[in-house]
Amino acid sequence: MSSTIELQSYREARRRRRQPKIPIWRIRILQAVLALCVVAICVRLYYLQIYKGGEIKGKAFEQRQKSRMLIHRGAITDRHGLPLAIDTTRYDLYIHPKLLKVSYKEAASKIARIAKISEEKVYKRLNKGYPVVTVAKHLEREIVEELQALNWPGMDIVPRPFRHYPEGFLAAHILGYVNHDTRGQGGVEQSKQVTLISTGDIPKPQLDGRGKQILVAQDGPTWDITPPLGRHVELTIDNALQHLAEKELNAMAVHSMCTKASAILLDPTNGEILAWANYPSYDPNNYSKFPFSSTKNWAMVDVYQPGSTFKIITVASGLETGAIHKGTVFHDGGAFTVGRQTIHNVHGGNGTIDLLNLFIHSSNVASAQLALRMTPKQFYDKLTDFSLGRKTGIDLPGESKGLLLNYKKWKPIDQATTGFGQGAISVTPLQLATAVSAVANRGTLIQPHVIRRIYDPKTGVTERWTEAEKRQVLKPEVAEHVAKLLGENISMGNQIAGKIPGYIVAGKTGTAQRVREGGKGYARGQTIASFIGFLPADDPQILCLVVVDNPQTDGKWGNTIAGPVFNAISSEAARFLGIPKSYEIVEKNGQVIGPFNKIVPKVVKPSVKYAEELAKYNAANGDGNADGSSATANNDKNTNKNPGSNNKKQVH
Amino acid sequence: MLNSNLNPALKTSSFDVEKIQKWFSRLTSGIDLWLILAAGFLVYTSLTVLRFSEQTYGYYEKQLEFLIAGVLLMLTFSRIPYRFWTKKWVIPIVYLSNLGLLLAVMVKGHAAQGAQRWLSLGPITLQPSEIAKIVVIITLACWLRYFPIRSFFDIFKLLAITIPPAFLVFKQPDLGTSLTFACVFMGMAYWSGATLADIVLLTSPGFSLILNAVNIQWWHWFLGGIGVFLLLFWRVKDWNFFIRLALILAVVGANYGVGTIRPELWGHLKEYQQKRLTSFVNPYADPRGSGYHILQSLIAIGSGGVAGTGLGKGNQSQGAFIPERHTDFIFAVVGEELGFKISVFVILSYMLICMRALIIAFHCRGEPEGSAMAIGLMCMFIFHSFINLGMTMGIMPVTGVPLPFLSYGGTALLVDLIALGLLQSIYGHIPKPKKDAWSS
Repeated sequence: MSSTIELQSYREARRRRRQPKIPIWRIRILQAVLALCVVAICVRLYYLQIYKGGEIKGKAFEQRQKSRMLIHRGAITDRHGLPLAIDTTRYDLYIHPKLLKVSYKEAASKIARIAKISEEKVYKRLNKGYPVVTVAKHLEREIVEELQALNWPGMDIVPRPFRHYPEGFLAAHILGYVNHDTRGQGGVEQSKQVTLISTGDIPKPQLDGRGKQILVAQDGPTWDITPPLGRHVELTIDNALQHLAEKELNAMAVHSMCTKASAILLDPTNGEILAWANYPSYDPNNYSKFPFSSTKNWAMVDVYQPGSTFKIITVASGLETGAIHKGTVFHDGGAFTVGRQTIHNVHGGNGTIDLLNLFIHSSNVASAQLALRMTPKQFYDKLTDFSLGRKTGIDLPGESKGLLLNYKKWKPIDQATTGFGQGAISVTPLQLATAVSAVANRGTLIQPHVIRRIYDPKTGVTERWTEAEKRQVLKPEVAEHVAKLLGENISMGNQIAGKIPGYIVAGKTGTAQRVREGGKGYARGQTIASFIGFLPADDPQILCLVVVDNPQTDGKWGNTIAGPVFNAISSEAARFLGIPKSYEIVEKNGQVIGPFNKIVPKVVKPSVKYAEELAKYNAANGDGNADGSSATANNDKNTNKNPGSNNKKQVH
Repeated sequence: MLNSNLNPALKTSSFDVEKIQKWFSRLTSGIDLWLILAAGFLVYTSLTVLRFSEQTYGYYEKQLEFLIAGVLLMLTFSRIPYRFWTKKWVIPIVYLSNLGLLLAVMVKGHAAQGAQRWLSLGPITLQPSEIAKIVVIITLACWLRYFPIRSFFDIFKLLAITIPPAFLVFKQPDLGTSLTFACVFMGMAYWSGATLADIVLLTSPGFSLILNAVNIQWWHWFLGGIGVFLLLFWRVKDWNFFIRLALILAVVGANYGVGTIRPELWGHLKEYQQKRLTSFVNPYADPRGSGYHILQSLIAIGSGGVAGTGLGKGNQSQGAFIPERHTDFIFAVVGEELGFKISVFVILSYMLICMRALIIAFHCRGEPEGSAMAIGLMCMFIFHSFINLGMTMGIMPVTGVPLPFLSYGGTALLVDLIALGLLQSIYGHIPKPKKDAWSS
């Protein structure tokens, strides 16, 4: 007995001895590995939950709110409350083909009949094999009600916001459009994207990963079933004036076969833009059918060399800096040599001329001499004061700064040519209008703007008036003097297109050479015709700039191309706004006699003069994208894509 | 005895404190209360989370059934002497039948989520890959009992045991579980005689793969470094210098080879596995695709804060943002709903289980099979919990590894509880220090 125990124990002991010993540091190593893992996990947990906790909580909240909830954008209206862009509810139709209880053929034929779409298309989509297919988008309520009456399983009808521009082409560049992701692109839709969809304090539902609402007990009011509506935006645009401006500009643009054109009508006393027409334009209801060049607002994005219209700024700068005084005279021999280059007038020499004749004869030589009387820094600083070479601060996205070479890089020839709007300066039409509005407004430059106010959709209470920045650019007496000179320029001079019966118009034509496409040198025979003017000269109420790029007819002059458009817009606007007349209209032999006993010629409106041409053009182009007035009629043709005109005046 | 003689009142009392103490100590003898405490806390947390989760309605009852079965199994296993499993005639049966199960899964298992892991045996559905973990641990322990590691090449015998089940599991495909085998193998080999240099050598191909993918320059440095390291520390006295040099060169060459054919090996992984392995580095690269799991998990854990949102009130976890929130990503739910203060205790519980396993292994160091088995179980727990927690917190790649005791899953819970039972069994059978084996 004892021997077996001994043997067993001996075997056991031998077996044990065969085993290698486990040193203590093996345990230590394993403990270290364990500790490392635990510390790593704990530190990470601390980092996530405590160090970054707040940030991640915010992220989680944001994620739950990210919903495709039906929110209607606020409307955009003109200054009288007429709708320019409104949101309506349209319905998208989705079908789960597997859940349908009827055959695809039958379903397709029925849906196609009700929704007025092609039966084949519907049938093809149903047969694609996807679990869910989009059958139709932007369906109207009547159609949807009929579809719902079918009461089929597997049919999903989802309400979606739908942006509608009842006026079609009208003010398209100011409004912008809404893309497929319901984000505003260009214009007010983009710059006020947040405001337009901000629904205020209305509680939003929190959604889970499947898009279903998380029901949480809350103290406040719970989610209301009616879709919330964003803020309304009221523009400074006047519907009637905008119509007018677009009509006249389009007529002239079509007639002159220009590449692009723009007309800006603003109120210099408060910086409000009353009308802003651009050519070519587009229909925001159908924005995808137009090229990008049409959808961009070139009048604040593209720059051009302003030419003679810029002499207003040069003269005002000269008077303001003290380089010249009111009686300064220049000798204009028709040519003037700066360094190696020679500046020429368009119409030869004018002898000794004062400031008034500088405008009347549009003397390049005198302007160059004037510019050279200032130091480069003085001139440059004044130009910058006029918002040239920097943004005007208009409340639209994508504004260009223009080009203004730094004065340290100016050569004398640059300074001289800048004096008549070439050389170191390129501006956007908006910048020029803004700069001249300072002259019209007794030297105070007001930030131009298109948004008048933002108001609550339900109560109509204004939430924010636009407050434009103001700054004194010129001494009031300098500005008044320049305005008087400009008034006399139009009244006495040969820039006859600017004359409007009953009003003393202050203005200046411009016929600039067109910079070549590559950016070097000037294109031969191509011009940019422009006219800028304001009225009445002694108490300016409206200012209008017309720029026509590369016209092909009528001598390509500012006076003949841009002038009539200016005349038509300004005279109609003055009448529409009821601006008091400067003098009583006296007719002699059927002709109106203006100040200085000069005849005020009758300028026929482009839209009347070129009516036949316009009609032909519209007939040839079919969709009439050059004419704003035909836009709404055009909408009705394409009912599937665009809403009808019946809900034009519907504002939420 | 002396006490009861002095105090007759105590002797006659029906409420005999001493008796109760004795009864209690007999009942709990051989049971490590720390292990029970930690595991109990984890299981309780799991059940609470499952119960208060709307989306996982019904899982709670199922898991409770499995828990009852598991506790019974645990008690059974804790009362079976662990040496029973390492008997020469038991282990081949267990090992081979497990291989058979794995093969059966390959042939006629049913698939879920792209992987064939489940096997129906009558009324119950099994996941043989989970059972394989325990089986491999026991088999390795048994092997170590009879053939301890004495030289470097003994390690490969262990590897030969590990590889067949690991390969079958990898082919299911279940990358996470097959990596568990690797971890268990390393731990047990190290514990029972392999040197640290051996382990470095064995893991070096893995590092080669990773470094080759990350930065070729680093990989070259690593190749040189591993050579020098092995030359200095690896089995310095075992062989003739030149043989050793040749072996080291072979190892470096193998590393180089592995690095070179990495793109091909990478191609063998399924596409979803590739994406999972890499997406944790930058989940923002594909927030709606491969990075979705990780991002949502991070957001859920982070939004829990210190106190948590309360059971069943986690907007992220209840709101269907987290996929697999009752299985692999259950810690995200715990993190959000119970917050930092409970999550830390969850992590500490895992640490406690692993520490106890380590201590049991140390106390049992006289019994090579028991101590190796405890280390294997520890490696299993440590690997599972670290990889899973790291995955939910975005510091480890997403591999489908469940969280022990916490994740919903019948077989996994049973296996974890059996592992606990085995640990208890080892704990209960730690040989008492004998005064003298020769005298009795």
